[in-house]
Parts: sequence; C-alpha cells; structure tokens
Amino acid sequence: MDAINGADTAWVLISAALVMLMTPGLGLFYGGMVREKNVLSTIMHSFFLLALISVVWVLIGYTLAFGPDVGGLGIIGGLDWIGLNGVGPEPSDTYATTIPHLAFMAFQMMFAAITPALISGSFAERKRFKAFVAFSLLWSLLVYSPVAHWVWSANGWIFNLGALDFAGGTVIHITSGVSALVCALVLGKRSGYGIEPMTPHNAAMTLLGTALLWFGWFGFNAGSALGANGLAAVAFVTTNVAAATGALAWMTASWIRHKQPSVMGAACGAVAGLVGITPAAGFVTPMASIIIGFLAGVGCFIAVEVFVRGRVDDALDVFGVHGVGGIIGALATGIFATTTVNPAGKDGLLYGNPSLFVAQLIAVVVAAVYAAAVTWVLLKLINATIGIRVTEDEEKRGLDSTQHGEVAYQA
Amino acid sequence: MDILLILALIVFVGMFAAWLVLPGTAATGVVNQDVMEVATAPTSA
Repeated sequence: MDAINGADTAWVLISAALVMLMTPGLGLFYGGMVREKNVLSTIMHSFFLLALISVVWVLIGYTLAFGPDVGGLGIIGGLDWIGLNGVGPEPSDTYATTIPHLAFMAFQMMFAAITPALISGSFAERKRFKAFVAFSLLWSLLVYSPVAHWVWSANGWIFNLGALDFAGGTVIHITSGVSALVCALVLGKRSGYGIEPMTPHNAAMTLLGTALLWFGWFGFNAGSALGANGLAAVAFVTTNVAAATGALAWMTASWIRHKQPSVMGAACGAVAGLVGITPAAGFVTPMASIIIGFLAGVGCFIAVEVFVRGRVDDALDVFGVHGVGGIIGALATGIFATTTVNPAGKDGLLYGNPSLFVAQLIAVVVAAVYAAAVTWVLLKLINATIGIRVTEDEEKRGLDSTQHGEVAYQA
Repeated sequence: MDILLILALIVFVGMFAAWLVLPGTAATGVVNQDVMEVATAPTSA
C-alpha cells in the first residue's frame, strides 16, 4: 500500500467539489431552457438527484461499481464494500493508491449523482416526480453501477477488452444520452409540441449553468488523473480547448443555418465539446482536442437540428448532445489517443493501432444497447405501477405548481 | 509539420473565415425563433 500523497489528496477532494457544483449547474442549464411554469421542477431534478444518489452511492452503489468483482466475470462488484464497509481514510490497494479510499469514493460519488440528472432534460415538463424518483434510483443501480464496473473496475470486462474512457464518455454520457432518447420515445411528446412555441424562458440562466458546468468539468476531467500531476495538467488543457472549440463550432454551424451567431448555440456547443473530450482528456494532445471539440460541436448540432428535433421530443437535447457527443468522443479516443501523452493508455488509429478503435466501438455499442434496454424495461414497469406522465391538465398548469406547490417567479 | 496541428489550423482558420463572410446583423431585429429553440422544439413540425 502506498503512502498518502497530500497534493494528490487535495486535488481529488477539490475536484470532487468541482464536480458536485456541476449538478446544480446542470439544473440551471436545463432550467433556463424550459418554460416559466416548469423551472423549479427542472432544477429540482438535478438538485434532488445530488441528494438521492449521494446516499444511495455510499449505501450500495459504490460497492456495485467498484467493489471486488463477483465471480471474476467483470460484470458487477460484490457487496464487500456495502455501507462503505472497509472504505476508510487509508488508500485502496486497487484504485488511486496515493489518496484515501474515501476520497476516491467521494469523487466517484459526484459522477454517479450527475449522470441520471443528465437524463432528466429529455423528459422535462411532463414526467411525474414520483416516477422520476423511482426511475432515477433504479437506473443508477441497474445501469450506472454495472457499466461503471465494466469500464472502470480493475476486473471490468470492457476494461480488460482494452477500451479507454478517461472520465466517463461511455459510462456517463453514452448511457445517459441513449437512455434519454428512450425516455423521450416512451413518454411521448409534450402537449403542444410542434404547435405552440416552447422557447427557453431564460437564456441567461442557461449561460450561467453552462459556465458552472465548464468550471466543474475541470474537476471532472483533470480530477480523473487522480493526482496532482502532469496528466491532470494535460486533461485540464484539453478540456478547456475542446469546450472552446465546441462552442465556436456549434455557433458557426448555427450561424450558417440560421444567419445569426446564437448565444444558446455557443452554450450548447461548449457542453458538446466538453462531452466529446471527456473520454479522451487524458489520452490526447491539445491539438487533437481542437479536432475533437470541433467534431463534437458540429456533430451534435447536426444530430439535434437535422435528425432528432421534430421527430422525437427530447426536450433539452440530451441525446443529441450527450449521446452523440459521447459516441464521437469515445470513437475519437480510438483515433487520437497516444502513449506519448499517457503511457498508461494506448495508441489509437492515427498512431498505427486499429485495435483500440475496435475496442472503443464495442464499448460504445454494448453500453448503448444495454442502457437502452434497461431504461425501456424500467419505464414500462414504472408506467404500469406508478404512472410516468403527469395528466394533461397538470402539464398545462406546469409542473412547478402541480408537482411541488411552488413557483419560480411571483406574478 | 504535425498532421494534427495542420488539421487544427484548418478548423480554426476555416471558422474564422466563415465569421467574416456570414451576415453580421439580424435583418429584422425580430427574435429568431429557430435559433432560440436550439434546445427546445420547433414552432412547426
């Protein structure tokens, strides 16, 4: 067992706090995009999950994701660390061996909290709160924890396949993005979708949320180096560069299509760039991060504007940004990864190693299919018992007053 | 020269050139519903 390194510990704890701030930031990002009558309910989705998953994670989620493997199959962690049993201030033998095991657990807890919150953008303005609670809890245990185990556990089968995911492109963004698409399909369109305007009620709130996400993402990606070191610096730079290029790319694409440089487009593009660089942040050069940010910005813009909108009411473009952005990032990692940046990684297609790209492709397909299938089953189950959608009258009056008895703005 | 540097330069210069030639002001001053709905839904399906 290694000794605890103070700098590494400080950086990971600060990073955990940065990632924590992303979840309420996401609430503001989404909250600005919905109509006035649904602001609080939308923000509440994120805020509530920060609380719910924090508890679920320490009780059982962490051990399912990172606990010693059951049966050596790389499918799921055992219950050895249930209730944080054996997870203390000493370093783990397996994960981040220079920091307290509790610090690693806390860092991962913030990832677990934000992932189901990402999905909430797809069913905004029409999902019953009770159904949202049940779905999010079950999804975290049945989708997030297993996929995290496959990809990040030392014995995970995708990990052993050789696929790379530095900070959660597959574990977080592909699973949440694909699940969001399934949610949008199962719940159906909002009442009045395509007939009445559903414009963002407060673009400035969305910009504030974007800024908080961008800020927190330094913890998300650079913190995933799990130490205060050169790799963290690489991830910090690639993260910022990809976010910036994504913002410029989406804004440019939007400018070409709509004849004006869109502020909302710049915000969405920054998030797309951040999503795209997430799996690659600690494996690629800053120049590659410009390419990845550009591909994510343009790719997500096309996905949202050409393929999704008008067909599926993915209310806040979760699939278009997180699903498509996650897929672009995962595949780009298979192309641009280089061991000159991270000797613990692998070379990608550009550096003469096609096997990494194949492993990335398998990881993408498996994670997407699994997340979609479990999400569909969960939604059908919840719909048959609790009911997933508010009544039409409640939808017209808004979820803030009908689900929470509060409103964001007094008349 | 590194192929990634060349690609990165093409991406950036290409976008910058586009900003110079794209229209710079709204013709009408009216809020562009399509742009404002980047993250929501179209006004007509």
